[in-house]
Amino acid sequence: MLVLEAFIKCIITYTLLLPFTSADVSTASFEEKLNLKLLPKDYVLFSFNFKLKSDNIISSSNALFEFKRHNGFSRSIEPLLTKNNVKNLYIKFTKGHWDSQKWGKLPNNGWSSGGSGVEIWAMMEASNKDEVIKNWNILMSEVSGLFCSSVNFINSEKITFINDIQSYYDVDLLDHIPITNEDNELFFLRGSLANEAVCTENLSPFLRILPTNGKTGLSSLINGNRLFDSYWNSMSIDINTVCTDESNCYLDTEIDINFVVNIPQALARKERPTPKPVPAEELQCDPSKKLTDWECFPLLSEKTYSFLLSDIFGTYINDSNRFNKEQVSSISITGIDDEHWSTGIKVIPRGVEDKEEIERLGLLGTSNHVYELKEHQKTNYDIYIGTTDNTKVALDESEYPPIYVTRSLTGDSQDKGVMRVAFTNPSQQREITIRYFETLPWFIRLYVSSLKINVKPYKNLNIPKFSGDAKDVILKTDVKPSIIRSAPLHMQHTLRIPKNSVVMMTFDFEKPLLNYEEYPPDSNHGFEVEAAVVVVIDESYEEKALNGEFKGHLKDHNYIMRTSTLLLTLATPDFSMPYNVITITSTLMAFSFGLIFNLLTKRVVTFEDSKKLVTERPLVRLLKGLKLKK
Amino acid sequence: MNQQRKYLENLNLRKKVTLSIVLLYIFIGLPVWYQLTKVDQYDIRPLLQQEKSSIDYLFKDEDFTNLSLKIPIFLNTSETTYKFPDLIPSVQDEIDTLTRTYKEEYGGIPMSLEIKEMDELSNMDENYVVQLEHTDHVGNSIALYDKLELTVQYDDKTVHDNALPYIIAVSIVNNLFYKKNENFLANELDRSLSIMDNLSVVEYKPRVVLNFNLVVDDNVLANWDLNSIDNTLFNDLINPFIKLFENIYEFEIESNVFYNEDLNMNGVGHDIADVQAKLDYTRLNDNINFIDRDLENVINFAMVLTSSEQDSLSYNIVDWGNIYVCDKEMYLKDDSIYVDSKLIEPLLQTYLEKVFERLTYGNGDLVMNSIDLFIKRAIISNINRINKNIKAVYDMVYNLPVYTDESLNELIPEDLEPYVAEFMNRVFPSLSIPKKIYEQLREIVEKRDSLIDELANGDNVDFKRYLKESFDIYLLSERTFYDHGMVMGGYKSIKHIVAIYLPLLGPMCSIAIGGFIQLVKKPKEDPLLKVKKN
Repeated sequence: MLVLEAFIKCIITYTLLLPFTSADVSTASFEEKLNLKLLPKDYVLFSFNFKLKSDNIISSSNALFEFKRHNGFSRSIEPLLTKNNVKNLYIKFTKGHWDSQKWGKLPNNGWSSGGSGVEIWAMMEASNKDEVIKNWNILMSEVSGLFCSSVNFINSEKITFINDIQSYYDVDLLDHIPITNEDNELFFLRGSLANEAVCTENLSPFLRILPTNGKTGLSSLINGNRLFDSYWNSMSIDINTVCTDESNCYLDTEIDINFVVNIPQALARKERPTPKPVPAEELQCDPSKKLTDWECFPLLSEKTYSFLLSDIFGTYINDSNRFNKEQVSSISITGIDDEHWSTGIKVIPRGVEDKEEIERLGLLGTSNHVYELKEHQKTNYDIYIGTTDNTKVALDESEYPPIYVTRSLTGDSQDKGVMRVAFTNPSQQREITIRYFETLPWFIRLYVSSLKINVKPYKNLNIPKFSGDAKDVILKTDVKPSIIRSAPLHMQHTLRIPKNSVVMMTFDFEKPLLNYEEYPPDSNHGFEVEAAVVVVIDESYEEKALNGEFKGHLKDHNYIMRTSTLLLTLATPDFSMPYNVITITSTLMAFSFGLIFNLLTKRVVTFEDSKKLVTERPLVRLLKGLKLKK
Repeated sequence: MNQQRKYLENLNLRKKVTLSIVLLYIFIGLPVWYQLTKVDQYDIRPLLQQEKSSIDYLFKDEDFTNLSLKIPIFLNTSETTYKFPDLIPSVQDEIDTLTRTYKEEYGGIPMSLEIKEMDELSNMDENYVVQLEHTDHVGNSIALYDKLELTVQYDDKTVHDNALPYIIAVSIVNNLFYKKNENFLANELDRSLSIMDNLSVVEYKPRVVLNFNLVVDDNVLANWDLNSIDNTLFNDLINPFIKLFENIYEFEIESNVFYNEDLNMNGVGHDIADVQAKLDYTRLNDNINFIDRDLENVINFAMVLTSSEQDSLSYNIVDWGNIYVCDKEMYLKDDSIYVDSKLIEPLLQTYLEKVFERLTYGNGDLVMNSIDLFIKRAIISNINRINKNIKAVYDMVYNLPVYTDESLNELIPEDLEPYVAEFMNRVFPSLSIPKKIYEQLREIVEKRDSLIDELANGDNVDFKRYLKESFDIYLLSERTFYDHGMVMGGYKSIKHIVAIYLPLLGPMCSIAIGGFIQLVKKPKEDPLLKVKKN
């Protein structure tokens, strides 16, 4: 110990003489934004967007050791990717129903949400498919631990390899992806876990990735109670590896948390935490419906109301993002007009805690409804939204989704079924091209040849109806048949949907009996089938992207959405079956074998002779003797 | 007569048919059944019996001591005042006597210390070197941290008395290999073999991650001097430290800054018990999932800047690292925090001391000597761990299934259970293990034996290489034990297979064999004729 101390003392003396050198400036960065979009019928969409950039992930190494640094960027992300040779990783947790008829397009053109459950996309480098599947399995078990989810069940039976990558990924970014070994290839994979329960333990890892740790800035608003008590919610993290040169690579990460809340219900939750009927004196009846002394249909909401974000979230925004001097935290409110809506920000200095005093604080408003949180001192913020007519919320023409898709299973047979998918193009001006990406588990034995397709008008309007051959709407089909117990059926159809039309596709499929141990514990519940992905393609952009003439970002051009998930019921066996089978088979075998054996080895005699022979047997003689004695 | 002949012909035919069924059953049915249900069967007991040493030690909870280490010591006789032509064999004789006596008296593993003449080819930085110095007194001294060097001072009287070989031998053995046991000071002569101390706690893992964390309990931008490797902290403290462990450990260093986190240390008092009670360091274990536990040591350094009653408070968590709770007001300047080298240095020193202790599994006595002793301890520890894994596989195959078969034993009446169980064990003595496991096990035993051979007899004693080799064998043994096929029950009891097929085989067997016996017993005279005659 003495020697070590002496060694260290020598070093200190030497060190103190050396000039002071400062540390490298960290290149990590962080941005945060919140957008509130007022939707018709008193719904509001909260869209939190966090952008993070890591420090250089290429380890600076000298002869002695490897060096890594993470300034504010979660250190769990980088090993997750590098260890398994993953270049890009997109994880999406989604729950609830997005009512596109009412609410229009999905936020961010659908790119920040997945199908109901968990959806994972990954771009991985490997020498072959076996290696990539092996790495994927390790990746899934690690993601499963990190995000507290059962994604480790997304194995080779569930993953699909994506062919037309340009529809799902900005191909110009491929140039920025570092390849470790030149002989390797990049694989783009997707896997999904339908209707996986999403809850608070999945949210916490998202917040922990942020340098604000869910405690300060806009993320201080997010809590599990609010997020999961919504009509629809989605949490996604997109991680891209971007290299500027061979020795400089960073992880470009974007976290989106979106959820839809009904304002009157959220406010009522604050006023009446336990559900109670509205007192009679406060009850407002809908005059357009039946109204008597005994019957009253309450008005869904008042026409005029105002609220603060703290009324919905139960907390103020605790300070702002101080990690990025150039991009301060900002809140924008969209979907409203100035005539009927007003917004404002309340700046609450630290130390002011008295409710009345806070209420007396003034509001500051802006004409564009965008608020930047940039007080020098640490401050709390609150946002005010008020309306004189809540019906004055309307979606622009551009905000309506270009397509509606419904998918369902029909047929009541235990061994056969039909899958039906309907694509509706509501536009009366233009036809659209879509890519329908379907992944079905191997136990849905779908007959691709049984495809029936027909086209019907969406609305009876005075515009020409589709008159061509229905099969011509399919431009391209790629099918990768399923491998029993190994790989799912993957099919991708590129379709051109005529304007004002509904294209209906139906497929027949067979429901097999599974092996005994393949049934889940709750097999009578049925098997969840993951959502299909539908991308509305901007053809001119895609063509340019493939030719190398890039224009804009893919996410601004292509609209992506998911169908609902399906619940497949398969015939479930009696689970004591194997033992019964063993017993019955053994008995039958013994019977049949005994019969054949007897036929082969016993002598055939006449009935009379056999009677005589029987009387000669000792036992019969004994019985006869006993009878005679009596 | 004609009828009797007919009867006999018929009887013979029936006998032939039955016999052919029985033969078909025996020669085709049984082999087919066996082939279809067979799993790889390897008896690993002979493998263990083949070993040079008895396998008994495997079944005792003792350290493996049937190992002798051959350690070269280079004696520099060229730079002495006098020439000693026979010094090396004399010192060798003295050392052999001493080590033998010590072994008998204090136990431990046998060591053969081989004295060699120092030449230019020998690697003097990695091996023990003994220098001779002619002075007016007798004594010895050890080099500090840069090499494994022992200097023996002698005077003319020593030479005259021919006591030099003994003095050299005692200096080597007492200073480098045997030491006084500090725990038993009452007996001055009580010594123990340094290499064997707490052998079971030594777990060598080749990769070391030094995790430097700046934890800021605030929403302000922070940075520190550990963020850059071209820094005085690295150049003067960390790099020389890592150099000491070259070719033993591979280092990785991380510098992390966490914001809005205080590890529950906000407002912590002066009392260390307060820290102990409140501390929640698990919040830093973000990437705990990615640590390969067999390969990596992760040693943490966490500097927590929070509102604290005192300037600085340090706390060591065994097997985790050091935590330093500091008052953030000292570092907060103009809405940002910067911690420079001057402030980190004293903390880093205490941290590196702990890291040194942890990496050498020692008390930090002497730098190079501690490391060298650690290498030897780690080799023996690895061999011990290999042996334990072999034993574990053996137990899994031969002892564990006994319990799993209990369900079958339950079917047997309680009175008969011991007899039936004994019978079953006698008839089906070996349980099956996958071929892969058998081959890996054989490889482990072979490699381990050749390593032990080299340690005892090898000429080129490069202990760092042996350390790596022993660790590789240990990893293979871990893989063997945790093999998917083994863990998931890829090995199956033959009893189980018999139990599954018995319902099917039993009735058919009894019909075929019973029918055959009945036919053999049939009288040669036609019973029908006999009846008719009567």
